[in-house]
Amino acid sequence: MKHGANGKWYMNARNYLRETAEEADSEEYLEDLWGNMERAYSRKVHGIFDFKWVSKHVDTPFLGRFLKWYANRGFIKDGRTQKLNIDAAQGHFGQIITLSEAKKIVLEKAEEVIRAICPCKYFNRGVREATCLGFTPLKEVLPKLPRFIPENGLEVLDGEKATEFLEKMSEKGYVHSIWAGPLPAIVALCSCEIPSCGAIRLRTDFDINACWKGEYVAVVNPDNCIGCGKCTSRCQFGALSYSPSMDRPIIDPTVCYGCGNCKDVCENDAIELINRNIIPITRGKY
Amino acid sequence: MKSKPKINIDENRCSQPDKCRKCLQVCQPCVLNLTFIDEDYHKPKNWKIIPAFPQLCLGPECGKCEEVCPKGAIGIEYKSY
Repeated sequence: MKHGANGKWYMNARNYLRETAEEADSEEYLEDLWGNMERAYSRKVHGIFDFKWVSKHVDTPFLGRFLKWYANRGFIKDGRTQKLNIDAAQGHFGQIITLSEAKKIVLEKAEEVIRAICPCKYFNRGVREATCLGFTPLKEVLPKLPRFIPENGLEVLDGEKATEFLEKMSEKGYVHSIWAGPLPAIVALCSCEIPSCGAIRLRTDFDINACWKGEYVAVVNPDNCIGCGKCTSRCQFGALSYSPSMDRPIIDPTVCYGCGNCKDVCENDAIELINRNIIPITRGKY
Repeated sequence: MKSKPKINIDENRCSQPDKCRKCLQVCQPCVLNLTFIDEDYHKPKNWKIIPAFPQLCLGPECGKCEEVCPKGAIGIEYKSY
């Protein structure tokens, strides 16, 4: 994984280029992965086990540790040099990003941006909602998978429309995440919800690292906080709670994914995002 | 003796899962999944609802999916082991 500006892989403009997607065989990969997205938990890996079965055994001694190790090393495989098992979603690496990073990506990094029906919300929640932004490789593949094309068709969004869309999603309370398909080609920027996101729920419910935590951790600045409690309904990960004794929210940094949802709603700048790596307890823990 | 919820879905009664999807929307922990079999999603009969993560099910006391199913295709019971 090659890092870009500030050491973030998703800020490396090269990962959004058509050439990178071609090197990693993105189209073939996406046709298989997105075409079978509804089977994500029931697809047999090596003909033996599926994620449904893995989820039952993650707490079994030895076996659970082996299964997690196998799954976790698969997600970060490089599509250019390593052989990928698409049944196990190998190479489909994702990370939580903030709204400002998402805006920067659609404005400066991505070549073409389209909107697609979110497969996760469809198969987990039965809701058809166009909340996924796809980049060039996904745009090429979607015509073969018409069930993910929104009602008004495959429309290429310009920077302004895309940022407007991202802001609307943030306002609704969704969390932004960036996805590779396969690494290092970046193919989608999704607005996710827990537990209906197929990958993030593997992380939150079963400790399988299909999605990594973001680069930041949210911290409350008590001087600016007026205790309005607006942020309390915004955390998808259960990291933020309200302390009645201090009359302000408290955030557990070990649970925080650094999405910035709580910060975005605060009118008094009382929550700030700081680099995960400068806090000892969260250093290097993605 | 311990017991855990077992979710039974009668595939004959659940005839159009990809059109209905009511049970998916009422389940709080997102236990049920819409999926297809035989790698062919073009055939409507290949779509079905499966209990993907029954270990997260709230059990027969919740029973929201049983109530909402228009065909009465879902049943939850305790399985002892």
